[in-house]
Formats: sequence, structure tokens, C-alpha cells
Amino acid sequence: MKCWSILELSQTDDKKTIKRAYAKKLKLIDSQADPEAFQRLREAYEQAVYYVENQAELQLDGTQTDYEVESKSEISFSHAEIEQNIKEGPGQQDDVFDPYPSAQDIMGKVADLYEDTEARNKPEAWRAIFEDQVLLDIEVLSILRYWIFEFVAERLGATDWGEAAPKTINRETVRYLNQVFTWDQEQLSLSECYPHHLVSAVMYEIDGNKGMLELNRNVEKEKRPIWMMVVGWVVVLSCLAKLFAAISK
Amino acid sequence: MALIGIDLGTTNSLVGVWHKDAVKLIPNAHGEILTPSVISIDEHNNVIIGKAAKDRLIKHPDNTVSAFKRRMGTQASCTLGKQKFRPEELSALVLKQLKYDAESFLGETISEAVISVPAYFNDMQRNATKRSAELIGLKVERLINEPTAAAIAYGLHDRADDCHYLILDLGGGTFDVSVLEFFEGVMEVHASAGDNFLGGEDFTTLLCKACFEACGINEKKLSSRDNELIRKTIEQAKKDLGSKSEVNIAANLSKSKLEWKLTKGDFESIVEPLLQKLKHPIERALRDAKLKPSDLDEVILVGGATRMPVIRSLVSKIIRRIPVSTINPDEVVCHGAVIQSALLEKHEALKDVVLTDVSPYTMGIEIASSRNNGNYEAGHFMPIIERNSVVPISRVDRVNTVQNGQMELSVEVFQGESRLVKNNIFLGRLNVKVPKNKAGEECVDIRFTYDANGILEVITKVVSTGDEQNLLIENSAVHMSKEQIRESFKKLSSIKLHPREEAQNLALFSRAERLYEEALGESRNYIAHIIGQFENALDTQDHDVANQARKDLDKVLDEIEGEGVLS
Repeated sequence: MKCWSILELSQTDDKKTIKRAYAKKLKLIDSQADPEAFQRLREAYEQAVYYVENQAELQLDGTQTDYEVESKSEISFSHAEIEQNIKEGPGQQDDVFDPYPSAQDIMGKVADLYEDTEARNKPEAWRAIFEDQVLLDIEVLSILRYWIFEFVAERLGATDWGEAAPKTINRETVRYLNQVFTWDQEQLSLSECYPHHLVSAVMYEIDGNKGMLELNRNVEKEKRPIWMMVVGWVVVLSCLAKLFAAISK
Repeated sequence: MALIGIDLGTTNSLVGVWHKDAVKLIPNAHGEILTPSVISIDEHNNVIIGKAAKDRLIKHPDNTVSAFKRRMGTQASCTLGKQKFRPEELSALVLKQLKYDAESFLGETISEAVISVPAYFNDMQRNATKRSAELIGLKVERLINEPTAAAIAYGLHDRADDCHYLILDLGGGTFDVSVLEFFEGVMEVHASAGDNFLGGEDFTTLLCKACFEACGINEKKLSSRDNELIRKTIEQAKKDLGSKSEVNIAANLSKSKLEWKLTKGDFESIVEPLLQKLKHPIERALRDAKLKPSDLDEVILVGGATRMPVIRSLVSKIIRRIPVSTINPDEVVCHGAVIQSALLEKHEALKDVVLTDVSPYTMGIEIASSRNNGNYEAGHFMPIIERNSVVPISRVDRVNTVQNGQMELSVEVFQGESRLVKNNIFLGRLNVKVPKNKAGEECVDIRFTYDANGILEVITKVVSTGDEQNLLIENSAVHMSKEQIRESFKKLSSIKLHPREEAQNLALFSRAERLYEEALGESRNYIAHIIGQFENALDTQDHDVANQARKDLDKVLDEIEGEGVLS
């Protein structure tokens, strides 16, 4: 892979070695004077780190030794990834907080509430679930953001063909949930994990706009009929005439 | 020639310089490090900046302006006296004062500076800040992100290797979150997030609203003097609640007397909506950096507003970790800006430190995306540079025509995180002429280049003809023409700053007048008396007498304020 030669390193699995090599080369570059050199080094570094982190998968592919990585994939994020990251972490230690049981507990409550066809129309009932202190924890919140999104989106009755089906969660509730999970600010990352129609369905509930309306944006407003303008001018002119008459008196 | 570091804040501004291998923050004429970012105009049309101006907020609210950093990058100008000022010009005046203070301290002229901006400042706000400096003949060597600056200041203090920091910067008007890693002398920002309209000032505003409601005051009928007085009293109460469990708020309004009791519990429930808003950027920064709270080695609080205990307890709850703030939260950003200036000058003591930062926003263009029925739907956002990419960075993406015989392609540049451009910030437009051809046959390469200052350049290239066009983002709504810049430059150069000694007298007068406004009966007469005495001393034109009188008056005013005669 090209990245190793840019870093002046023989291929390695050790992240620390890569970091050291990157740091050494970085100090020789003036990123303001030579941004291209900086970008080349940066991409090589990100590629090398990606290689180390995903080595297991890459080796399964066997033939793929010259795996070109867009640095975008370094930044992009998927739901599965965070789950994996959190699970793989030092979860074995006793003092580390595991967010999953709490999140599952909340999901259980949500499912129970949804079964109750009467209570699920009351936003207060939803509020009662999400005012839980455990939601203060950032990890629990970020897990539930996606779980709840999926749960809600699938029950809004949207299909890929835009057919309407009865909605079983009302708009007020969706808007409340958006306050808790700020989905409207995460549209790009949600679009990466879920199909377009699911994201659109939820956003439609939140701001009343699916994006489909954009189609018509080039159509200009219809002009007023001529007779309306004529009548308008006649009224204005007669008023002016009366005014003049009053002044000249 | 020295390169200075400036923290241009919403509430306070600071200036410093790298001196004898260490950071030296430069005191103003009053011997203080913090210069309030407040500007006032007196009856002779003279401009007053800093402490004296802040004290004039109550007596001359219509001729005094504060917190103008929040309006940077917009067209909201304000009228002071007979003149109109753009937000850039107000910031320029503060910079002028800081530059003057630094010049008198160093005894040399200064023409270059590193200025800190909130990490979440957008392209327009960054350009406006840069322009402010240029308006007073100060060249900006680098715009540094505030949390990054804070991180360098901490990183240099305890250089533990392989450390992850979370920096939370809650200033007067903005909230920034940054995740950083320090390894092998490299300070690397992994992710930044934030909110441009969330700061200490919002907490005060919310408390004022609650106070008006509780006391049955109609905000619209309130004179601007009373309004400023209440605001100042509440501001003080907010600070006092840091150490007390309840405070009594009292102020003498022009027609009535205000009394209100505020407990810690009330305070927490009033500001709850703001606390909610703090959570999301923190979560997003951690997620973008692919870290979980337990991976962090340290959580650092920066900015004056983080002194509120409610912020500390919120942070400990949501990330299960006690935050630290070992460097003065008001000064740490300026420390970092100075270190950055020294890095740019390649000082020997710092030759092993490198800093890399990221772009906090996603930047891209509007495209029409095809739907399954074969139609195209406009208004979609196509990211080109994704948020939290390491800068400087340059990326190309290719778009093609969607209609047969299409002659022109409109490239509209946006910044933001929504998949529909209408929810993102519009930065600029470029019309690209393409040869007539079938739909999809003509392509245009669009290159985005984002420099280390966080300023964007867009270059388009028609693939078939090789025609290139260049768009330096200049938003028409906030753009200043060359003519405007020249005029503004002239206007600002004609404004003379008060000599340091005079500035001290002015600040004392303003303060005494403010205390007079706040006091009642006996102590009012007393203050009037000592102001008269001070004027007499100044009239003697004797340097020593004036100096002594100044010291005396300062002491007396301290006593008056300390005794709390006012409450």
C-alpha cells in the first residue's frame, strides 16, 4: 500500500508506531505553506490507521491488499459501528457503566405503551417514559436515538411508494420525541443508516415538509387578473381626485 | 516585531504576547487583564471602550452597546450617538483598544495577530472577524478555534502522552465542544460541535424574563435604563448563587422598587431548557470522534459561564466524570492564542509541538436527486467536505447535467447538517456555462478547499472544455464592498483612543456615576461629594496630586461597593 511509503514505514499492526511516524513527518511540513503535502500525509495516516482497525475484515477478503480508503469513511459513522464500539469497549471492568440494559429497559416500556392503543395517543404517557434520569447519560441517549427513530419511523405507515397507511403515533408525540432526540439536526447521519422514505416520513411529522414540495419551487406565483388591477387603479385615482378637490377648496 | 494573541470575547476580551518563553497576558490601563467588550459614545462624540463603557450601560443605555460579537456576520448595525456602526466595526474598536494596550506595554508597533473565534463560527462570521482586524490595520496571521486554543494551553501544562481531552467552552455568547488527542507532540482535534447562540448571556436573559414575570413587570414598558439596571443586578445574583443557596434581588427602578427572591432550586428549573441544549453538541462531538465517555482522560471546562455550579453538575451527570478547570477559565483561551502565535513564529521552546484542527461543519452544494419515478427533485444537499475533516483539506466531486440541451449549471454552496439545503446556511452561488449536450453527458468538477483559518474556496472546472471558475465565498447580504471598507477604515482611524491616564479617570467617573445611580439618600450625597473632590484634584493639573486622588477615590468606591450599601 502506498500509505506505508509516504509514512516511511514498513507495514505494521501497531497503531503507536504509525502515530509516531506520522508525528515525525508532520513536524517537517508547514501545512500553511504546503497544504498538498499535508493532505497527502494525512490521508496516508488515516489509511494506515484504517488498515490496522479493520485488519481482520480486510484479511478475510484475502486478495484485497491494495485497499484504497476514502478518508470519508474514516469520519462517517453508522449505527452498527457505535453499537459495536460500545460493546467491545472495556465492558468487562466492573466500574464501567454499561448503557445497554438501561436502553433496553426503556425500549421495553415504549413497546408496552405502544400496545396500549388508548394510552399511546397521549403525549404525557410518552413523556413519563423519557423523563427518566437515566436518559441524562450520553451513551444511553445516543443508543436510544436510533432505536426509537426506527421504532417510530416504521409505525408512521410510510412506504417507498408514498402510499398512505394509518398512522399509529400522533404528530404531537413525534415532535416531543424530536425534542428529546434532536433527529432534525441529525438528518445526514440518519440518512446514512435508514432509507429515504423513513427519514422523510419522520421529518414530515416534525416540520410538515417532506422535501417533495421543492419540486414546485420554480413555478412562479400566478399573476393577478387584469381586471383586478384596473379596479384598483380606478379606486386610487378617484381618491386622489377627491383629495385634490378638498385641497383646492 | 511581536505577534500578539487576542481572545475577542462576547463579554470580555484579552490580549497577550509570547515573552521570555512563556505567555504574558497584557493588562489594560486599569491594570486588569479583562477588557469588557463594551463600547459607548459620550456627549462630545468621543468613543469609550472597555470598563468605563460597561459602567455607562446603566446611565447611558442608548449610547452604549455590548455583546455585539453575537451579531458578527450579519448586517445588524447599531446607532451610537450620531454614527452608525456595523458589528465588524464595533469589534474593530475593541481590537484597536487591545492593540493600543499591547503597544504601550511592549513599546513597539504591532501589525499582526492571532485571533480566537468560536469553533462553531461559520464562514461568514469568520470572515467578519478577519475583516474587523483589517479595518484597523491588523493582519490576521491565524484564526484559532477557542476550544483548540484552550486545549493547547492545557496540553502544554501537563504533557501526558496519549491523552484524550473533552473541552467544553461556554462563554458569554457561544458554546463549543471539542475532542482532542495529544500524542508525540501533536495536538489533534478529532471533532468539534457547538451552538452559536448559547452562552452566559442567555442564562441572564432567561432569569430576567422569569423576574419580570414573577414581579408583574411589562418588559416593553420598561425604560432602557431600568432594563440595564435589572440585568446587571440579576447578573450579580447569578454569580452569587455559585456560593449561596439563595439571593435577594433588589433594585431601585425609576418608578418603583424591585424585590425578588431567587433560590438555587428556582434557578435550576428556570435554566433547564438551556441545559438541555448543552447536551446535544457534547454527544455529537463524542460520537464523531468515535469515543465514549470512559475513553476520555480529562474533561476541561473553559469560559466564564462554566463557573456556574449547575454546569458542573450537569457535566458530571451526563459523562459520569468530574470536570477540571485548573487554568482560569476566563484567561485560558487567550493563553492558547498566544501559544499559537509563538508556534507560528517557530519559537525554539515550542519546536516540537504541532497542531491540527478540523472543519466543524459539513460543506457541499445543492443537487437534484433522482426519485424512483424518473423525476428529479431539487433542493438536496450533497456534502463535499464532511464535518470534522482535518484541515487544510481539498476535495473534488463531479456533478453532471440533468436536462437535454442544458447550457448552464448553477452551483450553490451551502454549509450545514441537513439533507435538504433549505435548512442549511447559504454561502454563495456560481453559474457555470456548459456546452449543449444530452442530459448527463456534461460534467463539472467542483473543488472545495478549506484552509487552516476555516475559510472556504470553491473552484469549478467543466470537464469537456477545461474552463475554470473561482468563487471566494462572499455572501452578498453581509459582504462589504471595497468602497465600504475604505470608508469604514477612515472612520475608525479618525477615532482617537483616550490616553491611558485619561482612560483611568474616565473609568473612575463612570463607575462613581453608576454607584450614584444605584445608591440612595445619604450615600448618594457622599458619592456626589467625592466626585467633586476628585474633579478639583484633576483641575490642579498636578500629576502627583491627580495620581493620589485617583487612588483615594478607587479605594472609597471599593468600600462603598463592598459594604453593599446598595442592596
